[in-house]
Amino acid sequence: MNNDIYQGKGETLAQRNAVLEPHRDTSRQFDPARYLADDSSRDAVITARILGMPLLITGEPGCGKTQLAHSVAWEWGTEAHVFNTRSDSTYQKLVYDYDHLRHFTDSQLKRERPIADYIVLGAAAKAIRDAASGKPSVLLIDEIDKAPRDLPNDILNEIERLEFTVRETGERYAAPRDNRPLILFTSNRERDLPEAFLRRCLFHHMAFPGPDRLKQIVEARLGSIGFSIDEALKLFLAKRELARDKQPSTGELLAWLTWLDHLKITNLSPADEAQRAALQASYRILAKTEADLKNLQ
Amino acid sequence: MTAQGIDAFLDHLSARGPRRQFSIGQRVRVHQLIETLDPSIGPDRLPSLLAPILATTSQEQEEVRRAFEAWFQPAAPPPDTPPPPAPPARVLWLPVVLCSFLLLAVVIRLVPEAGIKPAGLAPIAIGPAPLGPEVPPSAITVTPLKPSVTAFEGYSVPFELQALSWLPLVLLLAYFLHRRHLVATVERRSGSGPTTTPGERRQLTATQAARATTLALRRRESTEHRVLDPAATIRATVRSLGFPTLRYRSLTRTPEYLVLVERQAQRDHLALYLAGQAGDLKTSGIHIHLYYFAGDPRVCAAPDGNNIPLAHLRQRYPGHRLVVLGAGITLADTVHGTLTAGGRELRRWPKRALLTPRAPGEWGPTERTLVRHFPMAPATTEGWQAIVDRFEEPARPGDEPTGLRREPYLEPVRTTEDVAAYIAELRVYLGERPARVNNFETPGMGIY
Repeated sequence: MNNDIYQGKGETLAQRNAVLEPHRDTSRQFDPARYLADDSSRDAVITARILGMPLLITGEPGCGKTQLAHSVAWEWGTEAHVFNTRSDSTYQKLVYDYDHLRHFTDSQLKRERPIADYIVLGAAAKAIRDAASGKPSVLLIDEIDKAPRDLPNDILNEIERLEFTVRETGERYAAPRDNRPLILFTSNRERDLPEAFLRRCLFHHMAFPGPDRLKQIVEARLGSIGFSIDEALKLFLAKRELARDKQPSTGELLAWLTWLDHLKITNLSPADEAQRAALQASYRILAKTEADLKNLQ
Repeated sequence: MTAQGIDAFLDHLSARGPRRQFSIGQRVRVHQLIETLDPSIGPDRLPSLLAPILATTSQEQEEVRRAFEAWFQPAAPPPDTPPPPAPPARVLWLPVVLCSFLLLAVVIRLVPEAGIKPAGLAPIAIGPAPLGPEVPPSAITVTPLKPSVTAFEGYSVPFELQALSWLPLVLLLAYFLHRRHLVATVERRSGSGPTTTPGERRQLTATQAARATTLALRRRESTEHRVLDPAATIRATVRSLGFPTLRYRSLTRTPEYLVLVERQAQRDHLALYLAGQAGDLKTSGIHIHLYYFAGDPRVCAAPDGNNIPLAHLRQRYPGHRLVVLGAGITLADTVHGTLTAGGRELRRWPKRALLTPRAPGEWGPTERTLVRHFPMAPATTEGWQAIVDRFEEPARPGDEPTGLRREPYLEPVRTTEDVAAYIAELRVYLGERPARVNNFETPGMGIY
């Protein structure tokens, strides 16, 4: 790939006879078939499935909490229903939403539709529907700590009973007792969630992997790269210790190694000035603050 | 693994502290899991299977794992390394030794009185003296049945030994008193601080004003997110004769509070009291996150003692209402009448307030500086309620609080009758010095 796709001098690609090539395919990094769960995460999922209880997963950003849900769904031959929590997320959006605006528009235009057409099922409703049909079901409620305080409190009963009724149609959704959806909550923080919510969940903290597991993860996700993985991991772990504000995690490691591979760097202690500068510049993938970047460089 | 075995393990974990008390639900889940598990799953996986049920933090997760391994799988020593030293046994020797001494003392005290006859004591003659063929009956004498005092002299307990026999009792008593003192010391240290103020705290939560404050603190607040309001839209459309007229409403949320307690010293009783106030409100269901700071608020400390930069709190709690509990001396530069660098950082929270322990009558340059940047109130139940009212007021341009003198807590309402009553009481009290009383009648002079 051409590294001069942007020069910041006002000269267009056409003027430079350059083309914007497609960017590097990173789907391999997010392929659930290549996800390697550690033993404790695997056992936590087994416990949650056996007991039919939701599992709250905490850990550093980028350590693979979200990917765990996709990995479970992949192995169970299904698709994870994802609810991405936002600062305005409400219980109603998690189960279903009524499209008032569309109904209003249709009524203005004298269009007759059944009420059910205006019901937009949320992730929880889809997961319960799958479970009711006998299929394995996975519901991921991502970054629950970003939700307003009301959301965890509002869904206490729902995550216990896993049933609800659509008020507008009277339709009832309920998960069977012997095939409850696996509910995974992810959170970057601990202890900021209500006690009542924590009591209803199982808990698993995903620790940062050790060097051996990191190597397995890199090999599974990236395949072969143009330099020694051991040497790269050694450098990464040393740089990780230097970061004070936010330590780089597995996600940053994979992105960094991908970039180094793209630069065709073969030696992580380069004598060449240009390669050394490129290596220094690559630390901006690992650092998330200016202070950390200075420390790493 | 037997049910009794896992129950014993849970009891062992529970004995580690009050935070590790497991609910019945947790215990039931543990048994359900073990009953359901495939027998092929080895015991080495049990810690990671059980930890999700028993832990709620990463520290507890690690603690469960370690405790399980220590309880069920004592590690065998490698063949080429010496065996690890045995764990220190529970100190039982002291009670045993003391009990031995006590037993010895009892034996020493009781043995002579138990009638053990000392060897070599001559039998006491009772009855007629032995008769010989040549002794006439008139010569028969009766020997009195009087034991010889000298017979026990060799077996009397010396005074030193008697005194020594009481020594174990004294030592035993001292041991129990010392142990009781240690337990009391540990319990005091494991508490929240050097002193507790149960009376005031009970009063805080018990009063009607406190209940009203709790309700006010919990009152929902509007957010910037807006959604379509179907009912209002329909009403507006009907009013406009069918012309589509959309109406939106704001979403509401439960307010959350970030409370920073100013600590003047490591064992600041006032900080402890103020933190207790916040703790009571938290117990009442108010969403409060509590941190401490000493001097500069740019470095705060969590209740567990870990330091955390204010910038991190800012990232973590950007939409929270900030309440500073403390005099705020280090936040104000009274020379220039401005905030210090730490105080300026607190201004990043759009909704903020300061509750000071100083009475309004004692407010001086510090408070006059702070009040330009923080709505202020006394750190009382009424003060909490007052700042909630301020939080709910719409933001004003310039972020400059209006004059607070209209607030009742700033200017205590004293009627003319009140002042007259005070002066009458003072006249009675001072009696012989009426000239001083007259000074209080000077216009504009407050009575505190």
